[in-house]
Amino acid sequence: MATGQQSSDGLMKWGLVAPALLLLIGLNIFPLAYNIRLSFTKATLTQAPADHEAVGGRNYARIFKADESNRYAAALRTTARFVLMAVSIELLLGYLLALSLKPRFPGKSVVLLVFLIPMMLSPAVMALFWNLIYDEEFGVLNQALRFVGFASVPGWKTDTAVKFYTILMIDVWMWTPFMMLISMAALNAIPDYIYEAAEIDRARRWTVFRRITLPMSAPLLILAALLRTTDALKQFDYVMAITGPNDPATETLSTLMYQVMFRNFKVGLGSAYAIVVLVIVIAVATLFIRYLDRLREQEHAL
Amino acid sequence: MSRLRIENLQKTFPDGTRAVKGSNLCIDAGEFVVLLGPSGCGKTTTLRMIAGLETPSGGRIELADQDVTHLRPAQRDVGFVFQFYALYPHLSARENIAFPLRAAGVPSHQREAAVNRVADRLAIKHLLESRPSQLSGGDQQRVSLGRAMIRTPSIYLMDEPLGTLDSGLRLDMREFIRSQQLELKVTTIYVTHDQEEAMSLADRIVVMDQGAIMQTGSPASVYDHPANLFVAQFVGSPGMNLIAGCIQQNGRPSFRPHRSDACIPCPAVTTAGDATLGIRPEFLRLDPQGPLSGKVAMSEYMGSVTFLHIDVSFGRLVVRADPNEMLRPGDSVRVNYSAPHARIFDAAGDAL
Repeated sequence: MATGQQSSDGLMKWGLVAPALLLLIGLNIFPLAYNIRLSFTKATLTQAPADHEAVGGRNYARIFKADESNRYAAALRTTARFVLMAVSIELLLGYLLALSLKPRFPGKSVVLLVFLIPMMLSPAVMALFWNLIYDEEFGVLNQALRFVGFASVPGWKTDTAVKFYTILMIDVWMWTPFMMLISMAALNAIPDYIYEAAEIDRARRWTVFRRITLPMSAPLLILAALLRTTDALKQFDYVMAITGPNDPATETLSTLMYQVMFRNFKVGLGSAYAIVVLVIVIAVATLFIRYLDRLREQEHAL
Repeated sequence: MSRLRIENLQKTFPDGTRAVKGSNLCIDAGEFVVLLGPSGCGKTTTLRMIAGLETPSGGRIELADQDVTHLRPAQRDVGFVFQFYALYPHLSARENIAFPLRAAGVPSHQREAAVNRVADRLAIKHLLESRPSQLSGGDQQRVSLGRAMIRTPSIYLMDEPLGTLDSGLRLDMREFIRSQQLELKVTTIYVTHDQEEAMSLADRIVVMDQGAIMQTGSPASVYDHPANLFVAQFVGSPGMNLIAGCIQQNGRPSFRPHRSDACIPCPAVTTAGDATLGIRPEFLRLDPQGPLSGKVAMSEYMGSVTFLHIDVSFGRLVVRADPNEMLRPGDSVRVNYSAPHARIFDAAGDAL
């Protein structure tokens, strides 16, 4: 009887897990395996699977070729630069905003609401709006610049030296509020009595900030930075809206992948590139998870 | 020279609560003063105003003959020990204790020496590298004391520092705080709701209730001569027996409890009329010839002493009895009392 019970328990367990498992296999594991297979072929979008021609590691060789004109490496550099600049500017601005919004003042909730609006909007829609704002001839931005007296106005979407920053600014506009929100949570989590103790201990404001506020809010800030890093790595919408894919000045991992797969129909090469991106994402995610674990350990110690 | 002078100190919170309603207090250098009262009586608010953590709504605070009423805490020379320690969670015990020196820009070798000296005194040298979260409540409070002591401020303010500790540790820490204070002779104001703690620590007790000072005096005088019914009931455990009745002057004063024919002797007072007679449990005793008769309702065995709760015709009395006294609920007893130790309170509740 005991074994009967056990086997029916076993059946129950598998029955409960099965739907999730099937979904996982169908939507994640199989596509990944198929993607890996494709990455070693010269498949195109219009070919039947039977016609895929195996090319060994040639796709990967092409991606990693040490060459000035290697657009895969260039897209990687552009993305890295984008992530680094976007995340650090957003973190800095967000934290400064949170610090300056910490004291109570009349109308604070309205100010907060205004600051938070960008974050609530759809990135794709906002990208299209910014596309209009940035328009060289008719855009609001250049009209305003001309109005205040600038003789020559930048070509926001065409100037090779400016394009990248045009896109960066949209991201900063969109995601600084997120950093501000997390920073505010981090600052609010520091209890008042800590500041009272510091006041009794005669700490100057700078000492309080450097020795108390900053270290005590840092864990959440790092968490927010990691979240934004994984997000910014995927940058696609703004590039598509402002320059479109296939622009060497603004090509990111995602837009390049899109270009190769869905415009050039080179599925094999695109798949290889997708695998490289996956490895990068896994590396960042691992950092992220390690950090979360460390946070949990610290909390255990508390 | 008075270390601290408070004049007509008031605090009304934005929600309209009048936490402190005009307190006056003078504290001498080296004194250990305990603010005692039930929760919500304004004792912590008073302490926080002295520290500068709360802005007074009115009145004046002088520290060492200098008006500090509107100075920030950092501009006053005070040490503060918080009820919940308020240690910096991301710093080690060592860094916590050294923090006031670091804030003052003291060079690191001097900081080290000072921390070691304080840690020696507090017997926490072996804990210096631990984070607050790794320490027990008692050790956290020691670290917090260390942080307050390292700067040798002119006055220590302690806000129920032992409130969250369990009872054994509390006794140890109480003894420790007292011995430190006796040795260092620093002026200390200590807030607690525990009257036993207040009695054992204080040079002077300030009893507070509902935002007002009820009585100020040595533990003995507060205990023996409570200024009013509140103090009589609040100080002492159990509190004073209070019997409502009236005083009759037929040649010599006697006291007749309400709802009773019993007439009990009464200390010499010249007034007559409604009053309350107060008598501590230790001045009541079981006596077969006693004037009061009653039945045992409950017996509280405390080891060295037993408190008998006895129902008499006009209410319930608590009597301190020998712990060997084997009485059960329902037993009939007679009670005698020592009239000179009785206290009389007038109809308004103030001691006569």
